[in-house]
Amino acid sequence: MSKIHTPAMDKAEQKRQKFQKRRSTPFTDGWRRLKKNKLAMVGLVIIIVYAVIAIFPSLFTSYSYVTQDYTSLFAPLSRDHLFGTDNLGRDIFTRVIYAARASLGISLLSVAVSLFFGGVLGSIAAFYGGKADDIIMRFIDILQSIPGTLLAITLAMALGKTVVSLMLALGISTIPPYAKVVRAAVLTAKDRQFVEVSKCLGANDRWLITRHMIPNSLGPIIVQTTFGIAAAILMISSLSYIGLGIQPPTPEWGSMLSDGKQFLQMGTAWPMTVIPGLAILIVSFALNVLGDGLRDAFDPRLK
Amino acid sequence: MLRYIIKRVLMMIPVIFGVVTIVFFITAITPGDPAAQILGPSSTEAQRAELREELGLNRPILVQYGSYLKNLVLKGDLGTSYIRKAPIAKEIAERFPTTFKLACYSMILAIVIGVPIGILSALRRYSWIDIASMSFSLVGVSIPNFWFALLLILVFSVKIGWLPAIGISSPAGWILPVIATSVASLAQIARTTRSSVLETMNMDYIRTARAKGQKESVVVFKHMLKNAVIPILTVCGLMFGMTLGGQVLIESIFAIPGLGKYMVDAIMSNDYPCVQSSVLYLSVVFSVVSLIIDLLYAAVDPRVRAQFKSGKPKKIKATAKA
Repeated sequence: MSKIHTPAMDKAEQKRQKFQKRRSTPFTDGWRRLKKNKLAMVGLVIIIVYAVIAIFPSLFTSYSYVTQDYTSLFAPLSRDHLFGTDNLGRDIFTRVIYAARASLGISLLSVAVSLFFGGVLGSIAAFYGGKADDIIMRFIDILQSIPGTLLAITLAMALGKTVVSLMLALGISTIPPYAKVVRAAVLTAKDRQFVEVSKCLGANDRWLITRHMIPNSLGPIIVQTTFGIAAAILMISSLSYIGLGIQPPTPEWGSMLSDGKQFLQMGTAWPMTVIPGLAILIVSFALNVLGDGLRDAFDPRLK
Repeated sequence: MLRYIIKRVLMMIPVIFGVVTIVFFITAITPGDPAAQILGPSSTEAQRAELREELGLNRPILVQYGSYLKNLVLKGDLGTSYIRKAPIAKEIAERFPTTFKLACYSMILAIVIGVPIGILSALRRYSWIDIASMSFSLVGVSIPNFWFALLLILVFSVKIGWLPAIGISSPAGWILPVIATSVASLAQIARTTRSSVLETMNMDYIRTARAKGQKESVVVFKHMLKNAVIPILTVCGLMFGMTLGGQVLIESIFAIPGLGKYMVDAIMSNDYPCVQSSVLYLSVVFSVVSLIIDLLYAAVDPRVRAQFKSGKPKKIKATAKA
């Protein structure tokens, strides 16, 4: 028997495909709600701009971040030096731009570290429950009773004053919130009725995990990650400010601020203190706004 | 109630033990030779070996850990500073009151301003008060507190000259450090208060209270706040920990002779035991504060007390909606 094609059937087929493409998952729903949140979209745009700057810093400036110019120390804002120059005559705009690379890169890597360890610990605790759950969560509680900044300082100190140790220190010291979020997310996803239904209908573990558990537990994890990147950026600048982590001459916002502090009493040197801090404030503001938006989008009941 | 308190205090012991262990082993994995750090690059191998012997660094790690624990528990001994050769426990005890004062002042400021702002924003949702205060608190959450401290110095002492830039010799010297330290917790407390009040606002019992003609002030303070207080308490506890950590930089910026400045100085001079002990000390303080918060749950919420009275104290879930 050959298949009969009528225009009406083609149309129905197209509709079906279109519908399948726009299958409603927690993701597409969340994205639709997020798009309506103007503030969050502004945050997203700012983050994209920062990302572009961090990836291609040389497109935005013709100076080098190490070149010192002793003929123009502490230059005010001008067309040549958009944000003025510092105590060694280096262009502040250029240094702020190159610093984005270090801050964003390390914050992403450190969040990846905590997401990995937190994810593994959290999901083991949630899957196996019982003793494993008790032991892991006890450990997390203990880790959490050391204030995060202090734990990061001790770790960074112990691992040596390098970029890698900074990343690891931040990553390890922020494991607890990720472990908790992942555990809670997996636990809720595990108990949802549609997971049981799907299981009864004969779905295998892979289907359960990829089609149900992951999409339905990602929301809170993404929200936590967004806030986590903002927190990591603040922490990196704090640690660099006290001389842990990124070492000069590589520019970093925190260490630029620590240079600026020495010339704080000098009225004309204000760009050295104000500009790098503004760079931190804007990106962490954008991430927090986006995080708020994502939380409202994934969890509309709080709105 | 007493049994609950005793139980919570006992539960703290393994936590503190865990913290001591973690902090000890973090320092123990430090690559490099502490003896070389102390004596400097010009020292000979014989000198270093002698110092290692003296400090007991050539013993197995577990033996070192055992003697560290023994000294800590029996004598309250935290070791000696590499640089100054002074007992750390004494140095910390001298500096701690200043740090604790600063943390308490900032927390008081944050709570006294943050909670009313949060309540007002929730009650007048989407009004200009709400929008303004929530924008400010978003900035407050995002701002690096040490940069905020630098800005405050730049504006209030360098440009206007109202307040001293460093030191706490006069009461006016406390103003800028307290403001700088409290900004993050103030913002977070305001945000949490707002969302917690918003959540209770839609509860049935609020509608009932209004329907029976209860005065609005009674509805807000007795019905709403009493039920919204747990997340606020939780976030206050968390923020106390953040304050203790964040203060490290603030103290060094304002040259306040507290534990934070002590730590930063120790970091600069690679004085590991000082850093380790300060972290330990502050973590224990943080644990005690968390314990007090936990006890406050029971004091403000009869449900927590009831859970305990039934013989099986279940861990209450008070998740901070930050």
